[in-house]
Amino acid sequence: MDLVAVLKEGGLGSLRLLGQVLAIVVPLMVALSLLEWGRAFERISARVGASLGRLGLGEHAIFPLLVGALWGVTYGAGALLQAGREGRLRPAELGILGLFLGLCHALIEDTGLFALQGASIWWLLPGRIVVSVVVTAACWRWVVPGRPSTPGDETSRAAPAPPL
Amino acid sequence: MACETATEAPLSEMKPPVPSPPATWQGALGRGVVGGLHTTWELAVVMVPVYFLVTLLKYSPFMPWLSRLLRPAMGLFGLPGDAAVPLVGGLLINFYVALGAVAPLGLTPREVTVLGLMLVIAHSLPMEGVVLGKLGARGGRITLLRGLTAAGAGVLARLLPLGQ
Repeated sequence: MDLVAVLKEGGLGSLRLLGQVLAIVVPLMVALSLLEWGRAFERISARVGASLGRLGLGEHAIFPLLVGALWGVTYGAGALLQAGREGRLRPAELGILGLFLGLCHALIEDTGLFALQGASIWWLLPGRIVVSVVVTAACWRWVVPGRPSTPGDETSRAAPAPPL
Repeated sequence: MACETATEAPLSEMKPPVPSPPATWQGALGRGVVGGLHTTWELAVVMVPVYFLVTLLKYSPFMPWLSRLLRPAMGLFGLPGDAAVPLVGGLLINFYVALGAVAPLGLTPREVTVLGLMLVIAHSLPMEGVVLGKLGARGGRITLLRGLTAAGAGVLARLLPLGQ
């Protein structure tokens, strides 16, 4: 094995990879920062909040959903934690959000970084979203916290709201 | 974004809930650029060493052996045995390890798409599972579902017209 060749390939290759990461991460952070400045997430959650009630998500769940889908679980976790601490999320909402965001977060960044490695964005992004929606719809009852629920357990649907 | 990098920090130091929005667009721009550079640096620390290691591994006699060993398992997803390196690294450690490890392998676009689909669905499983648990969600069950979903998506992806 030619160590010099390995070092050269590693050096050049990792530099190129870093350039690609920079090209995705910096514009994304700028865009998200500008959205934050315009309070876009608050506006969107206010607008679509009510209509998403059909999904079992109340309006207080929309902000964490948006932040988590765009940023990621650990950071979006901040929004979830805040909503949770303020007692605004019901157990069912926590189950739905936790499962969906577990499967489907940091959408732009994850997709972009892998697309730069040659993956097809047209399969990656819709594929992930569709799979996440299907799995969440099928399995959310199994992950609702606070009760030993089983898949298809209808009782957890009527999880009582925690005291505010 | 900072989401995944924050996973390196102990949970007690997890970022506070969503920061207050920047007051001006210039402030937003600056915060975005600084945040992007900072994040890229944090990722570089992970990705560059992994890139070198995998390049070294690629030319070592160990890789053909590992590849042969894992070919049957990875074949379920239509992937070569080597792809197990980024897959396992991504599942157990984080997305950026996977990214650093996939780049030197020279996989076909089709293979990167399948691997990418699996990895965007399931990555950093131990760490993100703990974060979800800390939020009050059922971290263990969600993590299990993520793993199963990724495997299912990988198997299904063989049926998709992804090209070469």
